[in-house]
Amino acid sequence: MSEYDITLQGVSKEYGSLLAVDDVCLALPRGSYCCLLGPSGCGKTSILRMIAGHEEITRGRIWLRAEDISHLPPAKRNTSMMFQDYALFPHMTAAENIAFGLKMRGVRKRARLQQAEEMLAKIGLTEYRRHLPAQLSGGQRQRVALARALITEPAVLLLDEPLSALDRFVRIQLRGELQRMQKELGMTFIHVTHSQEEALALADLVVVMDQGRIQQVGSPQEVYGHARTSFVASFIGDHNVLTGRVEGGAGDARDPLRLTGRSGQTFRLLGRIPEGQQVEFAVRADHAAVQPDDADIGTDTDLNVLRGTAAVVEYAGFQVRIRVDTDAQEHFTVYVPEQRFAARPVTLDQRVKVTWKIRDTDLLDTEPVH
Amino acid sequence: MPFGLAAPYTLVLIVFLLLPVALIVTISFWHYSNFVMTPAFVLDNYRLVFSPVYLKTYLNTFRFAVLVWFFALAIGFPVAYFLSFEIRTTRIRMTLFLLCTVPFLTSNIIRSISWIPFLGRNGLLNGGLLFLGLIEEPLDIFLFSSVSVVISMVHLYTLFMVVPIFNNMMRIDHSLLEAARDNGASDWGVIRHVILPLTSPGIMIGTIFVLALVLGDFATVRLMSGGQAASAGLAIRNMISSTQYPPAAANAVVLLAVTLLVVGGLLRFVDVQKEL
Repeated sequence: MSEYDITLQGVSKEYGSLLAVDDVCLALPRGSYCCLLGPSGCGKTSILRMIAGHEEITRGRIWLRAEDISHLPPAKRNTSMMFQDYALFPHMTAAENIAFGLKMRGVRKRARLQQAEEMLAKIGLTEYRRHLPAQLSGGQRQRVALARALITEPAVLLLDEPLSALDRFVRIQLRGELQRMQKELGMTFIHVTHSQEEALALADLVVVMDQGRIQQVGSPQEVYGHARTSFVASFIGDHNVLTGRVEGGAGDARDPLRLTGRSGQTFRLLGRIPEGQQVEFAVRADHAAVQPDDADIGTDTDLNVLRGTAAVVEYAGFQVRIRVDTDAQEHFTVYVPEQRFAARPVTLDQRVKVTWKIRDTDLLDTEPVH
Repeated sequence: MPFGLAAPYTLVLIVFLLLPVALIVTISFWHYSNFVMTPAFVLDNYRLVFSPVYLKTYLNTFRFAVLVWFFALAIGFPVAYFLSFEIRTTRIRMTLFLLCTVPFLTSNIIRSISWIPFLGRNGLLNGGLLFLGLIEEPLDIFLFSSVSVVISMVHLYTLFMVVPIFNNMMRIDHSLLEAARDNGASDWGVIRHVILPLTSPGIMIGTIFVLALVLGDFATVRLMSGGQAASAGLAIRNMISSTQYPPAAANAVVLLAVTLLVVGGLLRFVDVQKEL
């Protein structure tokens, strides 16, 4: 039990008739940076708030190490929350905000301001100790909120969309600081976000959620490289999700599964699915290549081919994004490195073929995991 | 031309406020004897106001002001808290808030008079206390005393405390309360360290309303005290009814000055511009 900082056992949350969190089980290893990722309303914030104690649990249990904290008040949980928009007390200075948790624990004024001072130094805001939150920039407020949450030395830090209120430049800078802080403290961070970029950049463990359920749990590489469901593939982005009907094949490398897609084209992939079944599969946009329809791709039998029309050709700096539409209105996006595109350009409305390797074709689960 | 928009009201204020005040200040220095007043510049009227009898009246007025303020705050703050933080839906909140204002659809006089059958010797309060065996015989202290004056003023003026506090509380982000609890604050800690400091401007504005209203009141005092209690406003009214205009005017000037001092003092603690 104790190698996990937070364990959720069949946790559900209902708001009236709405099931916001549906029987979630999750164990977060000690000292990990965990991102709860999903669209708004997927239940990620409810989970965070239930761990913090700001939301009642409808069913299930939450453990912090070996202690059942399911029904403890927030103050007794040894967790600390950093709120979206930071929730700094507007009438208190930066130093007073940071020292608030110590004040509530009855630490004497001198001692708590001393500790706040150390925190201010750590976050590089020593000169701002007497500033009110309204006089601080977004990034400075974020740091003060982080310091306020950390000063009581909690076991777990809960962060609710901590970077979403900031502009891109500050966001990337503070993202780095969060990561460094977490590694230095060796504390478990649970970070709620709707940005896949943020989750991939920060997390040791990504938990992708949709409609109150966990869709996939894994390292950023696992989630990005092998999306398990079509939801994860489309939410993580950079993936194409196609459907097809199994026509036959053993499903191993020698005799791959053969599928017919919506536009009548045949694809091959690895996996064991009975004939006649409808399946979904994903292909990463950077794993495919595009060439004019008449181009010679050789006799490489290792490739899947999809024919269509170049519907969008967008220059995006180091790469070019090309969307190919099939006759059955399936969309397939390919990222082509800038130099390769220059060597073999594709123009708008040109007939093209997209190719990718059979082993880069990921069969998706139809049912979400629990 | 934009001044045209403000001109009518400016005119109203000049004719019905500034001129009368100027007149009162002038008359307060006039000489008067035996129902006749003559233009002069004497301080006799002010000497009268600062005589021990009237100073006692002023003290009594302040006593009312402080008591009513205390009860209005003690009753009004929890009501505002309940409306802002305990009620979750805007619809119910607004319905309950409007309910609070319903008594204001009736005139002040009628609302004061309504207390008489309740507080009287044979009233509901005495009846209830007798029934519970808490008293042996009806008490006279409830009606036509300072008690009834304070009760009825609290009833009249508490809403003036509720509204500005409620207005302040509605602007408090609920995540601040959660942040305080997350940092270990108890229920009382949340109120003491977060809600009270953030609603202090509302409390100040409510205090200004209540104090100004109580200091200037004469109708409630007259009606509910039955002549058993005095206030500065009532003293002025009594002087006027016996046509002692110059001393009444001096009294009014002093009362006005005192009220302005109190309000001015309180305004130093609030940034009115921020609250509008």
